Amino acid sequence: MLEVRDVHFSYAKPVLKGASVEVARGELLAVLGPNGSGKSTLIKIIVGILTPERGSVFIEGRRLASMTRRHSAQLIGYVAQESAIRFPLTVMEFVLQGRFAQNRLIGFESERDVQEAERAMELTETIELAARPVTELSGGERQRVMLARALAVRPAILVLDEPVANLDIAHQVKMFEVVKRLTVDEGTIGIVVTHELNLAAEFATSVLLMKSGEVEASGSPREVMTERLLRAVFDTDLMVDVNPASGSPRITLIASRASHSSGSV
Amino acid sequence: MTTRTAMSKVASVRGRAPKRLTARRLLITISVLLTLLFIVAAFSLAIGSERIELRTVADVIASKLTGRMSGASPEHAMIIASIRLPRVLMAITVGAALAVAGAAYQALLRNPLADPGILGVSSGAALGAITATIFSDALPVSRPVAAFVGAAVTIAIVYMLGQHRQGGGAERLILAGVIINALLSSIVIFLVTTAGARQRSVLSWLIGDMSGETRLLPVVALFVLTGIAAIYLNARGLNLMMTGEDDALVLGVETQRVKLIVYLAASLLTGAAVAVSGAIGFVGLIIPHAVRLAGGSDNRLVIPASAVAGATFLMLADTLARTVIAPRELNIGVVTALVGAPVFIYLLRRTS
Amino acid sequence: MSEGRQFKSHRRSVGCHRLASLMLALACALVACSPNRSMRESSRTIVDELGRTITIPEHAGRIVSLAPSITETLFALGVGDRVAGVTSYCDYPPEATLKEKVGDTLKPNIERIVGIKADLVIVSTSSQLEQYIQNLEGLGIPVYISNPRNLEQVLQSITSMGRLVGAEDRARELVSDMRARIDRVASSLASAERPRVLFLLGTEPLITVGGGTFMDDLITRAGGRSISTEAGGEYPQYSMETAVAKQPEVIFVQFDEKQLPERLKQTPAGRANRVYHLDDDLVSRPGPRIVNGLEQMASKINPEVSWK
Repeated sequence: MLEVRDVHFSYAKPVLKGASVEVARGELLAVLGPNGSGKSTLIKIIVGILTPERGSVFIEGRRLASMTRRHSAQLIGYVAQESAIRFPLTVMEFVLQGRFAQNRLIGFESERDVQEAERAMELTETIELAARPVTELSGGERQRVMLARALAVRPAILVLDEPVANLDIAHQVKMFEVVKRLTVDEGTIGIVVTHELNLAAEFATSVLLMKSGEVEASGSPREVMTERLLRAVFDTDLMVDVNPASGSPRITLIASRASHSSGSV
Repeated sequence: MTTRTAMSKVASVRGRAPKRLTARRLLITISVLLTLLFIVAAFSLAIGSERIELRTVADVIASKLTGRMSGASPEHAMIIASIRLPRVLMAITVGAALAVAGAAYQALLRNPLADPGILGVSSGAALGAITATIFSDALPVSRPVAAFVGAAVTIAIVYMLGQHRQGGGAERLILAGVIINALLSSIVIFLVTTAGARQRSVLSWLIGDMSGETRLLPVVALFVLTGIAAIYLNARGLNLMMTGEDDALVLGVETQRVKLIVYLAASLLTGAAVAVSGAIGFVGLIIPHAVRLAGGSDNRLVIPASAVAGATFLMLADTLARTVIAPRELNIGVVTALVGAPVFIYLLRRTS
Repeated sequence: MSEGRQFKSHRRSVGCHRLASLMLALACALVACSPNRSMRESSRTIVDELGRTITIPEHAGRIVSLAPSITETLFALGVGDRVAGVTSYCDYPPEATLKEKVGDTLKPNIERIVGIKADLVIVSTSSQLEQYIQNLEGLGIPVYISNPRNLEQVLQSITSMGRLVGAEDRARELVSDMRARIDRVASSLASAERPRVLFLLGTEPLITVGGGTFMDDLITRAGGRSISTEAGGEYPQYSMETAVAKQPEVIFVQFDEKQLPERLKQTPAGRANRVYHLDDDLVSRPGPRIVNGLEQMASKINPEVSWK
């Protein structure tokens, strides 16, 4: 169980003004909100990159700050928003990095490590890329490879920061499906920051809606993704009804009438 | 056969691009490189501006190892044992130090084009050396010691400037280093051009000199070995940090500690190398690059392979420098560039 | 036009003419006071040591010297009072240090040179001032280039400069003195051995003097044989191996003898302690005191010869 208790953080000015959330095992939490709402900062605090000025993160009751780096690394898998890598590591070498916390400082990866890496690559459909240098991959391929590395950790908590930004729609759905299956089959906690409101509505078991560093709402998708709340937070016109196929909320953006007629933005 | 083509042969022997580094591949690669090192070392001892028979060379070396008397004339024995041998050992030490420093900086700064001089250490060492010659009457300090002090001070200043509130970004460190480098270089140039004859002799040393006194060499060699070991212990962490500092942190790397150790070790390696032989360019930039092209980016291979390849390369370059226009000598910095550039272009074209 | 107005305009035009002639006279006076006056005074042409023909004032009274050797020569020729500017390195004779400084040998201060109203500048090619020469000549200041490449040419240069400043007699005396001393050195060495000499300008790396240079000539005349004579270039970086293998019997250094590399202490010169740091000014300035340098060097190379 992951618990975030009233965390605060500032860069030059306050970015997170007291955010709290609880995520149980097997849940998939979607973190939504406009740019600048503090989503990425919250994520970085959850995975341990940033230390909150106030408040704490608890994993299974233990404070994250008091864990050794090695221990927390075995629990958390993280995919950052972007990654510029300039060295031609092979995809296999890259994914194997996920096994770092399992190994000692000196030595080489074991057969078990290679198996875990291959499993992760199969889940993300990147196994054919194993010998390719990461610098030669397309944006979408790279994102899937980054997910594979996080999966190779066999984490209890999987945290993804906008993981589908560069993917085509088929792969977008597949990415969410992979994460969903992990939460269902293995009880992994999944936390996904995304702008894909409909995918979030489809796959998430709970939603965190943020604006200006604070939590506006949290709860099930049906509770949180209402027209009133979404319009207020995103400051844009939209319509929410029910997806007839799945029963999840369906969000439709409404373009203004003026832009319709002129045909230009 | 050069170091670089040997490594490509190792890679192609496996039939396909290797997916990951295994202990076996590491062992084979390093063995091949070490063999090459010994061949080039023997070659370097055998030739020089004075023609000495191979038999005599072998005799003198053997007598040095076993302690018995050699049959060679005192001049020949002196040339081989006190001029060539120390020079070869110096080339090995400095070449290894510069190559590993380059590889470490490149991984740390996430920039395959980083060079050991990028963070100002070479300029700091040069400034130390020049200051020593200016004040040599009042305060006689040996050039290597003064150069090293200059390097150490620069290392501290650049590190402090490069610190960031939330830890330290590679970009900020590079910026601090580049600025300090520019500042120190201009001071060095000012001192050299406005000062008198004494400083002019330092100018030749500044761009690389392998003929220096080797009394300190054992100390320097120990230093270099320690530095390389410290970096090697963090090779795995560096692998992860090459993909991003935040990523590495979450994957379990103690990034602050790795950064500090690798920065210090790589900078001290550079400082030590420049202190004994001036600022020799190219080795730190090109050798790690060539090693990566031939053998992959895993630092568990790149670090030791760069050390051996760098040592071999500098030895070769130095032998060329002191034989091509004998009895005159070419400046070593010129030779490393002239020899290194075509080899590197060849390698680049072969693997792209 | 009415007559009255004609008269008025005539008066006005006379007035205009008067103004014009006044302005013309003023202009002439200004031109007469310009720096180019020296060109209109008595001047002559002369050929400098690089073969350039230049026009100099008959009696240059504000001479600028841009090398210590040139300063020494000018004072030795007795025209020290006509020297208006020297470099910061010109320290001999002592009176020279009282002169206005116009920069150092590598970077002369053109503004200063113009400011002190120099009418002749004497330069040494070893200072590599080609670019400044153009500037100076563009400002109407003639530049004489001196270029002695060996001892004989130093004597010729002194003679030339004597002609330049109108001190031919003094130059003749000086040259004849110098020649006498050079001949004395040569004759004292007639039957002496020619030891192998290594001349080091720098260490780490070794910088020595190549054949055909000034220093090489000096070593030969001083009774030695420079071991780096075959090496090309003026100041070649030299191999330690060869320096040792050639077994120099005398080593001259232009730095503190204590800084001699260990390896060279094993040579005959090192073992016999024949390592000398000569007075740099005496051996590297191609001026009147070069013979002092020659004598000093010779006495070290062959100390057993009686130098009377």
